[in-house]
Amino acid sequence: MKIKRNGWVGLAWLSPTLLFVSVFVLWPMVHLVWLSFTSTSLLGGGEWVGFKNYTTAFNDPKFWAAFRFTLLYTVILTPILMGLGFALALLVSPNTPLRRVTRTVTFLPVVIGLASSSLLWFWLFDQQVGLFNRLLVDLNILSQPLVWFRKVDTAMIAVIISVTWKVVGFGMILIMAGIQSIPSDLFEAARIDGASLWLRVRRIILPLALRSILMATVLSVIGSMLAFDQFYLMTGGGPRGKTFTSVYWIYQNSFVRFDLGYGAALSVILMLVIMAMTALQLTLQSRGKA
Amino acid sequence: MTDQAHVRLTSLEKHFGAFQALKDIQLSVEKGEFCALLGPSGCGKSTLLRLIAGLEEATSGRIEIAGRDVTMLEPSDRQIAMVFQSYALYPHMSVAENIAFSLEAAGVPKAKRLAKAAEAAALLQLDQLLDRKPAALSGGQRQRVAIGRALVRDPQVFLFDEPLSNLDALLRVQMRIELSNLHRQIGATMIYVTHDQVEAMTMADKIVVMSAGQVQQVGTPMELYDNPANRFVAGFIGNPAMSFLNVAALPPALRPAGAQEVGIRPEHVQLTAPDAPLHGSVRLVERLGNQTLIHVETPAGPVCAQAPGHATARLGETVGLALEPGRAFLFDATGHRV
Repeated sequence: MKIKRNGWVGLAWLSPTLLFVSVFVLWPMVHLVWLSFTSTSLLGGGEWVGFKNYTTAFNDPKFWAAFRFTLLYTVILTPILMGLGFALALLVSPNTPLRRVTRTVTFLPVVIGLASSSLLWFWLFDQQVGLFNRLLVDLNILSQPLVWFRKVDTAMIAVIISVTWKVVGFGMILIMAGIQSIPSDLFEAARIDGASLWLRVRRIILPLALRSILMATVLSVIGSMLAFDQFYLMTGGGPRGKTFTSVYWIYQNSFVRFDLGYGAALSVILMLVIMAMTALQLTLQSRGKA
Repeated sequence: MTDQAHVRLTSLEKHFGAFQALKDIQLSVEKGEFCALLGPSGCGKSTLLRLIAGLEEATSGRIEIAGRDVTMLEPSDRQIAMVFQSYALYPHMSVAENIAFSLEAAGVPKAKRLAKAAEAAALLQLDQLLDRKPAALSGGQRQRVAIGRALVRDPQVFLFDEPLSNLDALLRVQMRIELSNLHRQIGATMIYVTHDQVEAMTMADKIVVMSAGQVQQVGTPMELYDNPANRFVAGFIGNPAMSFLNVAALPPALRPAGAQEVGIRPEHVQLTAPDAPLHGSVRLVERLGNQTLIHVETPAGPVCAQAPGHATARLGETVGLALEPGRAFLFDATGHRV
């Protein structure tokens, strides 16, 4: 039987989504790219400058310093989030009442805004009134309260602790969904086969939950490469501008120095870098599967 | 029970919350015996198998395998191997890796475990498929890999949980023969869960009929067929099923004393003249080629008669029925044999 094709009906069904994507994704992206070739200022005015913003960006040491810092932050944070997320997912994936409660409690910070949680942790790390400092002093880990945001490395640690608390539940849920989708009789067969927990994790859970782990990793890398709120609120880019992330530097140029055109060019560069990284991760995954 | 019991279950019970899944199970399986646990869905046969495997914990009672109390042991320490209904093959591993996984878990060196896997594969005609993944195998081949995985463990007892139910009818018959041959070849003790009485009757040395979490009767296939202990076993064993007639509605000359129901197998019912004391109208005629099943509605209840393949009977026609003397089973109001 020949299937009757009706393109117009299909287009009608798709039109709400197409409209949404066109207005809120495609048009802003096209506009961004156009802006990046102009000297548009936030205060108005500007003209076509061709690739000038891009050549400036490639010669801007501060942008590359911010980029390197973002990369370092991503490289440190991602394994922590994935490792901890996987361990938590292993713990909470069986559906027992206590594990369901643990799952919910671990996931709760995910629904809090990043800005709120950053502010919360800013005060927890405070030298005068911060409970985190107090705890570390009481546990004799620190001899006296630490000014976390005075040095780059301690500021980075503080931000990483706060972000881990905030988002680890998200990775946990994604990976847990992957683990729960593994048929239970495979685990039962492994029990009968006498597989230890380590062997089960290495030979069964990791390979079969790999898709979910990769998805969580890709989202985590994208999230980290776009880090802004946590640094804006906790470090303010300090000390001495050393904790500027790429997005923070884009913000500085676009909304503090009013140079929208340059900010747009930096955004395009960052977008291309993130797209390349994601494509690389997905390619590695598909090669691993083959 | 004898002292030769290879698997012995004593007063075994299992509760899931308030629900009692297994009630006072007493069973012994001899070494080398093929024992089928047979019953309808939800009767507790799979739960019983999982208790023996150690995948579920018994609420009370004792499980012994080869003279060892294994009630509290982990599945891997019970010297059992299990073939699951879904095969439970690791999808990302090759056939060889699947078969050898338990040896990997036991720390056997790679060369040795692959050699053992190849040995098991040869026995099951899987030797050409060792590098394939389960997704590239047919249902029957997957089933063989699952059996190979069990074989390589060299267990005291093989446990099968409805292993043929995912196969089509033809392959099921073929695998039934292969499993029976394998049992003869290796002489292992096997406990086999099924809801299919044909599988149980054709393969098992001993059948345990279960219903509502209880063992109804244990015996050889022909013992159960010829001498069912109660109405449930009588109705469950035999295809086509036994017909049950209400004694009170039978003609006075046919009423046995002290019985509530009379059970009669289709092969023991003959069609006779319509003026026979027991008669009724034909409700359904099922032609199977070598035989014809004629379903007759009588005042005492529906009766199925097995007639030769070319027997003639028309729907709605009144026919007489004669029950072969000495072949009827009598049951009291509780369903027990009289």
